Amino acid sequence: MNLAEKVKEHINKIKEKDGEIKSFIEVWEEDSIKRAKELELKKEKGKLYGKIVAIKDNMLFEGKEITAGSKILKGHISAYTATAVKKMLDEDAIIIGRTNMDEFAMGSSNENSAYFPTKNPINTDYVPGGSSGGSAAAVAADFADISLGSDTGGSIRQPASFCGIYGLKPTYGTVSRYGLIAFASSLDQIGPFAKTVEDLKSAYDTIKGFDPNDSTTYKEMKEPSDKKLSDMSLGIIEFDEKGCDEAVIENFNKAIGELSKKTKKTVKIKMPHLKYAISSYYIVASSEASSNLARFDGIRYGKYEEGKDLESSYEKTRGKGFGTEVKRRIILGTYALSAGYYDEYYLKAQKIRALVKKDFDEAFKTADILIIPTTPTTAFKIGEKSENPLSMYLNDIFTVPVNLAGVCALSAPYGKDRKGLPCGVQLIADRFFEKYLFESAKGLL
Amino acid sequence: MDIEKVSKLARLELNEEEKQKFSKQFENIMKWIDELNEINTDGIEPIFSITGMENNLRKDSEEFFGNRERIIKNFPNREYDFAKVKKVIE
Repeated sequence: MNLAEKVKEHINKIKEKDGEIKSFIEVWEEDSIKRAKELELKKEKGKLYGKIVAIKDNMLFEGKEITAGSKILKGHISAYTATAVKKMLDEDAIIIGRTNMDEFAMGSSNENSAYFPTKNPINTDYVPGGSSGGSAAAVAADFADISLGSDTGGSIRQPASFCGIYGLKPTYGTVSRYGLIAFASSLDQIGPFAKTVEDLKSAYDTIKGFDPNDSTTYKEMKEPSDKKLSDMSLGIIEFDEKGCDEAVIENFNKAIGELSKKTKKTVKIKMPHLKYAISSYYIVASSEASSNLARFDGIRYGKYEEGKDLESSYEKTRGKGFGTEVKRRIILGTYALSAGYYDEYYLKAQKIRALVKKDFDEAFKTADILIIPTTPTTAFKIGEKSENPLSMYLNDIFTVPVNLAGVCALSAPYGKDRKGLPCGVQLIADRFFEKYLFESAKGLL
Repeated sequence: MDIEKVSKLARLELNEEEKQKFSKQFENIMKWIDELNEINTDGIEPIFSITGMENNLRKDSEEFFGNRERIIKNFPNREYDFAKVKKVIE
């Protein structure tokens, strides 16, 4: 089969099945087929030649609409292409469309999209996770080989786990955020989804690297030497099993059993500040979001609502343009940064962040890779948690510490619960040690 | 939390229903966030840069962007090549 035929086949599958799953906001049918035909004629093919890729609706792609899952940006056309997307194109990937997401990446279920909720391809009564739920669902449903998402507190790993595929949150500063619509800049990182470790790795190898347009990318990245799984030590993070599904714990223990047979040794890891990571995260992330989203004022982009003066035009534009969760976080963040509360909340949260990082630094003195479930539960039903933000936030309890510490982590599918919903285990490595994640994920096969 | 005041600071209009709903939810959320006070953080340096990098600046030289028209086209209100705003000076 030639490449154009492969693209057509994928598009037909999307037309047939995505009406129910709703992983895409837009599919670029003509452009993809045209590009496939052009790529076929190229003499030297890039390493992603033949791969069909979907991108989350928060990454710029010149000439295409982008909305970050929000009404406030409806109709906005990208003026340039995000570095990560450009790097995928440079290796001859075909970008087939943009995927649904929780508005401005705030959410864990895709129910906060301003357009429609995406459904889990494994069982459409359930959420695919979020915020990169559309990207996860697109790969799980075989609409794309690889997709890109962004992960601020688990937004790649949690939907990867819920949809039964691989997802990688790279080391902070290894993948450029240029052209990514910002949520919380000190935590956001672009990363890939895939059905195989090989695809996941080749996507990561493609998108990583210093970018002069993102001053938080490392100029020089440490390149760790190869280490065989049999020479690695596995650190099992201790956590409170209360609130975890039985099947999650069962499969997690099986995964530990499997990996401990293949690694040199296992050690128990205590991380005393882990339980405080989630509240610290919500302060830091919401504060940064309230600042980042100040730019949506109806002057330079998107929707504009006329008020009686400039200030009321801002208020109306933002009041009508943003959805409930985005508003909730802007208010929370504005409060945490406001005069008189800054020390109590924002500064305190950043100090706790330092303690969480210290926990990881200590852990990596004795372990090469750490293991913990990706999420306390398997996918929940659509509508089940949408009226209870706190319970939704707690779903990220095992993923947010990784973002706070700036280290890397991978969610690997491992087992299912009784309803047939996938479970995921999270492998965590120190900064720049993605290599160890791929190696240990293969050990779970 | 004085939700009226905070929404003013955020330049974000909330309707009555949102104000009531949020006030109730924030009570729970702030109670939960207060668990941070269980930890003594005296003498701990807060983290502002997780990479440890400082002032990673590029050379201060101009670069040609090349797609000016596309940016201008995204303005909701435009006059010539300018974004049009409401009068700010009386």
